[in-house]
Amino acid sequence: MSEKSTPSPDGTPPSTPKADVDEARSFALSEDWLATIVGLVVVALAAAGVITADWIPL
Amino acid sequence: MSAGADQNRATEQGPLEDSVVSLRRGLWTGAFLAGLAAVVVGGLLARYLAVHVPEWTADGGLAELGAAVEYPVYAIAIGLLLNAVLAATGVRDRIAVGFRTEFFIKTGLVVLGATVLLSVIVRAAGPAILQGLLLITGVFAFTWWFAGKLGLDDKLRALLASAVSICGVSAAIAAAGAVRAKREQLAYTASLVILFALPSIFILPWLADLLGLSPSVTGAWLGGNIDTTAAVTAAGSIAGEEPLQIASIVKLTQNALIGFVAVGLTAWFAFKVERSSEGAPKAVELWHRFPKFVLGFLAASVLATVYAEQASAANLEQFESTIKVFRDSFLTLAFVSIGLEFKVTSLREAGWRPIGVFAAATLVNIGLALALASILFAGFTL
Repeated sequence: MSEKSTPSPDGTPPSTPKADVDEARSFALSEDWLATIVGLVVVALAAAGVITADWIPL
Repeated sequence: MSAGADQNRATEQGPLEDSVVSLRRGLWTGAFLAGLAAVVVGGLLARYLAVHVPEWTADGGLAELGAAVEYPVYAIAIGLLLNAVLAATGVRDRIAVGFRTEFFIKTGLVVLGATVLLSVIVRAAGPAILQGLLLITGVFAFTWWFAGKLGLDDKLRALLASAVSICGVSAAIAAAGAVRAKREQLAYTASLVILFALPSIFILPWLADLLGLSPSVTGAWLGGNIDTTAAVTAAGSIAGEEPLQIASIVKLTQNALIGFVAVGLTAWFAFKVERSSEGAPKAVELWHRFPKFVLGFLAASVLATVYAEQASAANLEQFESTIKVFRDSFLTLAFVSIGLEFKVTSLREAGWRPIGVFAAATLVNIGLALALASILFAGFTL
């Protein structure tokens, strides 16, 4: 983790370090964009007739 | 920190920490590919069963049941079965980085956008936004109040209220960032979301049928009250094509409202709860928190609407069948991943109070969403 997290004196677990939250958020967003791009590419290729239902097995 | 230590932490923590660890370890590792392979194998098996079980049971006494069971049921059941087998062999946590539920569901929803005409989205947007605002406000307020009555920590109250009122795990992650929640709180909030979502996938479509709800009201109800987007899509798929489209529009509207709630929570905790000196959140946070795949859903709908006006009937038919097969394939992978990701360990540490709060909030959510959907989507047709 990006900053060492130690339990507080009263024994409660540490909060999630802010750097980790930011890092996870940026990762989630990049996955968001990746899903958007992949999905739109599938739609565009289907509209162009490049891919068809036969491409998926079973 | 060693890779082994990282792995151990990933098994003990919630989705936020899993994401951080997987980011550090690099996605294209053997563990990632093995996890992905488990999802794909489960998905292929689910599709195989969905296609062939109706054929196998056609001539027997189980014909009706065989024809009625939809692919999400097979996918989730296979995911849970694989989960049990992989956990028993000690493999599951090592390959969990490959269970990309969020990616598969978001891609499936973008492709699903191409099956929804833009005119439907425009007509449904008004009631969907109104329902989303009223539901989020009502359910968030109830959960916050009830959790306070039971003496839960303010940060856990924020996580539970966000998860149950907006969109499950994604909202809990956004809220965790806003209030800097403890990692254990995020882990068991995520587990609670899945625990309550799994039965609702099967019970609510059945209940909608029992209550005689119209397809649009069914979709608006499912989209409004089931927490996670993946579970909404699974329930919508079971209920039918029209409920699936309306449920998706309603759920994506709630997804789009995450940013406002996260910014509000950040400001509330900064100024009222923790009185920190970090200052108010900036407006750009709204864009940072906005789920970008919602834009992909809209873009796919625009593409499909334009294509439908120009293509020949034969080409349009081929396009529609292709889109549905790819949409269902991505969603199948998402449903298998849901089953694979389910863990009960963090729930054991939570105690009964968060579970009681979540259960009560879910009941309020179901009732309020039914009332709003019945009013706002009465008479709505595709």
